[in-house]
Amino acid sequence: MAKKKKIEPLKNITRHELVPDHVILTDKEKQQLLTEYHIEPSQLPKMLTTDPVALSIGAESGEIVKITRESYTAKESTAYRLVVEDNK
Amino acid sequence: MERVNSITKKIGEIYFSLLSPNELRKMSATKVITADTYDDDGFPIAMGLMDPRMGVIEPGLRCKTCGQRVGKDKCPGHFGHIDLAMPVIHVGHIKIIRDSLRSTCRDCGHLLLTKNERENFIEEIKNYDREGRQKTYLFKQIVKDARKASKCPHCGREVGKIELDKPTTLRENGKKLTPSEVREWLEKIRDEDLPLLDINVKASRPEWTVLTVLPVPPVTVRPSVTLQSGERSEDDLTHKLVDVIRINQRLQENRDAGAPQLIVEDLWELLQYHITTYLDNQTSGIPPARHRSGRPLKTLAQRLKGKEGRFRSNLSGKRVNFSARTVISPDPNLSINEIGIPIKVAEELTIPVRVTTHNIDWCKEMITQKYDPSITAEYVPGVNYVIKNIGGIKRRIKISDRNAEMVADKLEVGSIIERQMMDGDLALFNRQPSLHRMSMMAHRVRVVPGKTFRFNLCVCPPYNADFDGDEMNLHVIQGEEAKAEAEILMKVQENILSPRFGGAIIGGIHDIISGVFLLTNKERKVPIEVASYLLGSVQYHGDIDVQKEDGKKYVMGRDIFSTILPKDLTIRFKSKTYENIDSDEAYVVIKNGRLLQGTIDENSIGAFKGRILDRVIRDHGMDAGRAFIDNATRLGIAVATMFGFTTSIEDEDIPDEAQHKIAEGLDDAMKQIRKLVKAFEQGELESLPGRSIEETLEMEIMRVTGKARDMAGEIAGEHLGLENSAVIMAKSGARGSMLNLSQMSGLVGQQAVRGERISRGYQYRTLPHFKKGDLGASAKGFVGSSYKKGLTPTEYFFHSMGGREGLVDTAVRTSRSGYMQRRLINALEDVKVEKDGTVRQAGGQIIQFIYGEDGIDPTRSLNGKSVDVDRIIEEVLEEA
Repeated sequence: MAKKKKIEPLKNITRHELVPDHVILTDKEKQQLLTEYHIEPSQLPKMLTTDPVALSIGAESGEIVKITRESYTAKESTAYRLVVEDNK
Repeated sequence: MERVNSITKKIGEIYFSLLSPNELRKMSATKVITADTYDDDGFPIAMGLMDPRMGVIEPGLRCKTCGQRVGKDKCPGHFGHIDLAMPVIHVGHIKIIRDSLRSTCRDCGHLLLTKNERENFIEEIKNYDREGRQKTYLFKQIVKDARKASKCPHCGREVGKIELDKPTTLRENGKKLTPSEVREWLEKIRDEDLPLLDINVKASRPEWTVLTVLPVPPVTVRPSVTLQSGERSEDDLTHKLVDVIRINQRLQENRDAGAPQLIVEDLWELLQYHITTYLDNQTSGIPPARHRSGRPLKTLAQRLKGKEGRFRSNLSGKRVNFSARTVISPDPNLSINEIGIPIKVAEELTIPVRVTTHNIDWCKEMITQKYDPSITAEYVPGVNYVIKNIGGIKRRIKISDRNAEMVADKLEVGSIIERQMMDGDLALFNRQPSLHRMSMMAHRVRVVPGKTFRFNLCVCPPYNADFDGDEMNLHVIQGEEAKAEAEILMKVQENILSPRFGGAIIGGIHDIISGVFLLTNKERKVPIEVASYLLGSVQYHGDIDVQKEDGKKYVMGRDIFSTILPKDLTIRFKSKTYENIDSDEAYVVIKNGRLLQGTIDENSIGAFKGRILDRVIRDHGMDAGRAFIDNATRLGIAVATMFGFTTSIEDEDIPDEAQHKIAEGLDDAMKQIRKLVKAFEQGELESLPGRSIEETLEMEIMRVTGKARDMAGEIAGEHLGLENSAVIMAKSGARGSMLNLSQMSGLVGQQAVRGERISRGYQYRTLPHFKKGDLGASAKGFVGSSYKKGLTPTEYFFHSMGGREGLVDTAVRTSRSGYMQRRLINALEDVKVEKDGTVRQAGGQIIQFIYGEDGIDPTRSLNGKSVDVDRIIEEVLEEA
């Protein structure tokens, strides 16, 4: 059986200037997003539950995270990622 | 053009599985028992490797299984089989075998997991399936966990350690397992456990990975060739199969005769070797099987693998019809979207045209006419084939002088004529390597005499073509849909702007820039006779200002250039020629399509930075851009022709006093370097922060040599004015640079390898001409001579070292970037921008939520920016 190593989240990682803004979507927002793009959750880009940011904001498998980052071309851009279980 | 008379079906699912021995026997047309192929009379031996029941290769012969021939009705060939005397392991499945043995019990065949563990894993697999995740890692984990058991949890048997001795030997606790033993073990594994070993129960059983029957591919797969001498030469696969059958036979005889165990085992291993190399002749750990000549045999895996394999060479890369390839040459009289194709090519390449009630008369005329240089000088397209559809069967009729009239008379609506190429057809033109989309563009055809493809010089950069013997390919568009698509997307004018940076990649080059420079620089006055020729070259109709001086009529050069500008163009920018001069004269001023002042050069009409060109494309569209480039080409070439433009070695001459000055400067630099070296040797040199003394010395010397070269360039530049053709080319951006000129007339400068002064060669010195440890300028690759004066032998040697590094670098770079690009293309091949602006993969997975995060098409942007703020401000200010 695969065993899970508990990884301690680094403190305040989200406050670092190089870490973009991560927000977990509510169920309603999630539905809205999926209907807007006509997609299944699995068609979204992924992000692991063991990702340092996922750990520090407490995102769990199946949730969708909205990421707002600075963009060279568009000043600000938003992306969405589906949080998935790590394979290990 | 044709509609296929069949139902389209969609493949829902596909899976690969193992062939079972039963299936193999069932599909086999014959058992193969004889290693021989043909008898003395040249007939294939029954139950031999060339048995006609496995298909035929000679035309006319009938296959004994299906009764069809090779040519017309196509016998696809049929498999045969060899019954192996003893089982043999299949190399391709060795990892599956190893893992299966490691995770199961030899006695009871149970998985080496407790009930609980097993259940957990089954649950996990279900979870993974539901989430659509990759299970590879999970299966690895199962094997890893099962291996940990020291005793079978079901029958209590001690678990042995399974090792794989590459490529095909397996050991349990160091003892060899024979393929028979392996097979027996695998047979014991229960169907219920197979999903945990990543095996599809419905499709395969693990014991099928150990061969008891070997399929023999159809004869059509391994055809033998008859040489002129009448000798037969067999395919590599046949050779290998001969080996397999021979050893198999000997093994069977020996075993049946009760030969000693040792001999049987030796033969068994030999059989294993032959079958392994038959499947893959590049298996590591065993020597490849060789042909009599010593060449390694090309067996099954080699047929499929790599660049020359079936996939990359025959399936992904196919050869096409309706294409041509020949040498290219320049033709400034063609438009940039035209291509001149030789008559010989035009006569061979065809376009299908369906005969309708509207064009039947034209089609009939086409069939009857033919190009004959003895009758008309002008090219006349004819028809090569007429395709008639008689009761669903298509018939191709070749048109010749004899039947042309008759075929034309009988021509019916619904037939297809394949007419030869004519002016105005659209064709795709391509040069390899096709590194970007501009490497293949659609051109309008112009049939011309000669034997080369010809095109306008301005389209050399996108193709990266020159005329030192380059060849290029042409593809004729066959269907109406393809034609429409090429028309919209692929025409040259649609590709003037590069998607890489949103600027023009096609623009004036070389003589075109020199020409317009001569026309517009320094208030050029053109005598009326010459002016009318120039205006004629761009087919100008309209008025022009004529000035009188000393009773002679002149036209200003800038007025001639203005005729090719759009009437509403207003722009002001700095010309390249005077980019370092800060005065009003350095600016080009155009108001309402009239050039008021300034010199037209690369900054006006060149690719990448041509401001006028850029503005014309942005304001008036691609077609206007094309027309502008065409006119600039014609005008530039006409000017160069009329005014004359030439350069010689004398252009690099500088006066004696300048040469003395350079020599003095050089002496100064040498003195400085000697001083630096002396200071270094006496330990008086102060090191720069963060550098050792040696590094400091090198840096200082490099600085001094660099300065010496600049000094020479400056002095030479003072004496090389704009009356000099070479300087005109360099300053206007037509070709070459001022650095090139200063190296020719001033001095060449420091040579470097890996960014440092040259320091390799002999012990403590570069060449035996110098003292050991000499750190001076000339001992370390400084070239104080000019190209014109000539280099000393040592200088020449150092110069060659620098030159060679450049060559090696480019050679290394191209191969590496080529492979990098191949990997990128494979990864990105079906990524596209969808209707909703998202970037998605073939499966619909989103890669970007908006293309480029801003949804901007780079070709419509201004150097990557979506809005040209400066321009808007300028226009608003103008209105006010």
